[in-house]
Amino acid sequence: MLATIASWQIALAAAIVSAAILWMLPRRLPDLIILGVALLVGGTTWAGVRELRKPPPQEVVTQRPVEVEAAGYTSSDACQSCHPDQYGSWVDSYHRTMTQVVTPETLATELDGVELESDGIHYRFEREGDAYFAVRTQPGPGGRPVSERFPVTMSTGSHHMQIYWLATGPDRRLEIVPFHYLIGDDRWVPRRASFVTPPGRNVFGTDWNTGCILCHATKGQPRIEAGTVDSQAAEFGIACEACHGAGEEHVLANRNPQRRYEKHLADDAADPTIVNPARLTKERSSEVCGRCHGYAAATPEARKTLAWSGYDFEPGDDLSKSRKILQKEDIAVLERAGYKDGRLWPDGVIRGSGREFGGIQISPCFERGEMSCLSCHEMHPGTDDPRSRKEWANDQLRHDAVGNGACVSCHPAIGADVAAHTHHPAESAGSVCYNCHMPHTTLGLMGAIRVHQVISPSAASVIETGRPGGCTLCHMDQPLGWTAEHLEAWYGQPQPELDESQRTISAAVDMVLTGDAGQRAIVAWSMGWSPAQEASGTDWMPPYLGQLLVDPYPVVRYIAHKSLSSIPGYDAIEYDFVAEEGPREASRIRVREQWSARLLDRGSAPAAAVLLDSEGALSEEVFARLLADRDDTPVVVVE
Amino acid sequence: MSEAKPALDLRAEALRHQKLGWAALLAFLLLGMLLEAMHGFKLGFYLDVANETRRTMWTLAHAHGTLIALVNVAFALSLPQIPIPEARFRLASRCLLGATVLMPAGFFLGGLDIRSGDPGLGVVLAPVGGALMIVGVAIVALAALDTRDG
Repeated sequence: MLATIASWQIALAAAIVSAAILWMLPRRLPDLIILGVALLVGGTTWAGVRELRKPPPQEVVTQRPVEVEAAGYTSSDACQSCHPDQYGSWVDSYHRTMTQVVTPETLATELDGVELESDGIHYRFEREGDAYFAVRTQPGPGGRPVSERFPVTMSTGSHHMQIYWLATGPDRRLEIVPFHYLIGDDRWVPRRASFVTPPGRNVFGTDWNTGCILCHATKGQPRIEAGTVDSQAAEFGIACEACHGAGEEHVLANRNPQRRYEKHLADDAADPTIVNPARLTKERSSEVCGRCHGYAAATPEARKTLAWSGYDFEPGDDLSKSRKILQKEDIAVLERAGYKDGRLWPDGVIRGSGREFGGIQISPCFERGEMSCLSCHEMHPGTDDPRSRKEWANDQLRHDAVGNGACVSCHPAIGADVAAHTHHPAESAGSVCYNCHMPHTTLGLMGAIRVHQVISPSAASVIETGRPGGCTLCHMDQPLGWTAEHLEAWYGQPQPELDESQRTISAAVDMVLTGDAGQRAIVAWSMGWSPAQEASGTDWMPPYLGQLLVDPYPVVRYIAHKSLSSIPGYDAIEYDFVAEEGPREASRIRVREQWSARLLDRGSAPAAAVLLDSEGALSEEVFARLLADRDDTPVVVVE
Repeated sequence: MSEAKPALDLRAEALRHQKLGWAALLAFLLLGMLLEAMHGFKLGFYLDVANETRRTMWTLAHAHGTLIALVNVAFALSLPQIPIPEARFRLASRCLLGATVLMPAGFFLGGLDIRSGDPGLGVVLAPVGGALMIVGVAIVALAALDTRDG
């Protein structure tokens, strides 16, 4: 459509020039000949340069999904000229690079020469010009190795990790490379080692054409029919139109300068030709994010067309018409036999990162207040934001929401004397609202993030749900009984019934030894969180983190090693979380030996709650008893 | 009875355009230095992505101002060689004088207040100045084409 209009404009300009030439023709023939030749040479050169610069048409790409202009969509290129700042922040965001065509420029690491092996399948990557290929060798009939060569065509992610996809044909279907490149660590890890998933089990979410395309591309359309895959997207990555809706009408309307200036000069610059999530109601606005950042199931109506045209959802629509956001009442249906479904805690609080919307929906600040995703996050930072774009892009928080700004905007009385509410010094981590009301109990990307449901600390809920409490994720050396006493004294919260262990043993210690894999990962992460280290000290932590170096779950081991490395003196412990059991056990023993030596040297004060006896040594018997009670129920945390 | 127009003093007219041309050239070269300084000091007010329209507008003000200043000087220098009927001369002269002020002023003012990639309303002066420039240059160009050798 836009191209048609551009052609009409060129035709009109040509008509005007022709009329002018005809008018001048009788009087200025020689001059016009010179002018005509100049125009011809100039025009031909210009057209030639344009043609050379054009990318090859995508229609010739047959082995991977392609970007094709969807009805009403224009792509982010059309947004840049009028919204350069917003376009710039989007370019700097990780949303843009969520899905990319593999080129030397889009790779987070050079693939050429990389060799990886998992479960007897060997991958070797090769580069030819700007194209990449993977040679996959696996046992064939009779056990003889069979090698196949596939183009490496697409990538997912660019922030924490990057995932690669092979074109295995015969159509646009993609097959995942079962290894992830961890950008921060500059290393490759098996895919299943980067999620909370039972050892040796396959990992969820490996079908790009039916799964990833729905959120990691703008207006993704799987186009799967009768066994053939012809996936298309309006744009790869989460681009402008993913949040603002199809932009063609807006672009066409605003070619009219009069309309634009009327908007510029009006008090209310709202433009009905485009969706601005910031102007939507809190429900509709949050659903723009929640369409992807939520555990959801397609409605029966949406399921009819999902495999072909994807979700029929435009920003501003009611999300419930196409997706059911899962809440705790849905989990009973979804829980697999013998598994803990790691999506939600038993009270419905979200357990996996990137799926926060369900938690926001049932937060009192959303239900009874005006909180939306945009209360704390912004996709386009303001010019007054002192942070670098890279810093902002890490979590896309609003500058004024870092700290207590977002909370006290609705709770000014608490903000006026925050220490009176928190019973912690005003400038301490204990007086930051979200440290208590949004603790790090959500797992994802090989770490923990804040839960996105605004909740109040409660000892009873720790017992009922198994979700670590905010108090003891900071005061990690304190038992749950200590939490219950303080919550009663400070907020009149009735103390739940606690057993001896809950009254005497640190809740973190208890959970790190007896908890399930998800609980262990959260506590391990918190042991590396600087406010927790300041509040609890780190002297007592190494034996526990050392024990987690031999945890059955690779992610738990990875997180434990990260936290251990943050403790002075333990940053040089040689360890690889995907190494064989022997070397991992050797690392655990080294940590114990080093810790015992340092402890005796320093003569640390005993702390019974973290199982240190009067000599400052670990109570091995209690440690072993708790470890024997570890909850080994398989856990899958879907991110 | 209307007062007769004074006879055209070509030398005085040429001098007027020379003065304006050289003064404008100085002013717009200084503006160019100012813009380069803003590059040198990486001023976000001028260089940030969000201010791209401002940068374009002020660059256009500098470029057009400088060029029109030179056109004024060229106009003055051309007068002895290119005979222009008096009425047309007066029109061309006024057009060039107007364009010298309006075009760069329009671009500069347009860059002061930018909104969503659009220049401020002051930019309306630029096309007015551009039209005056075309008329002025067309008069001189046609007169030049009509002038015979010798």
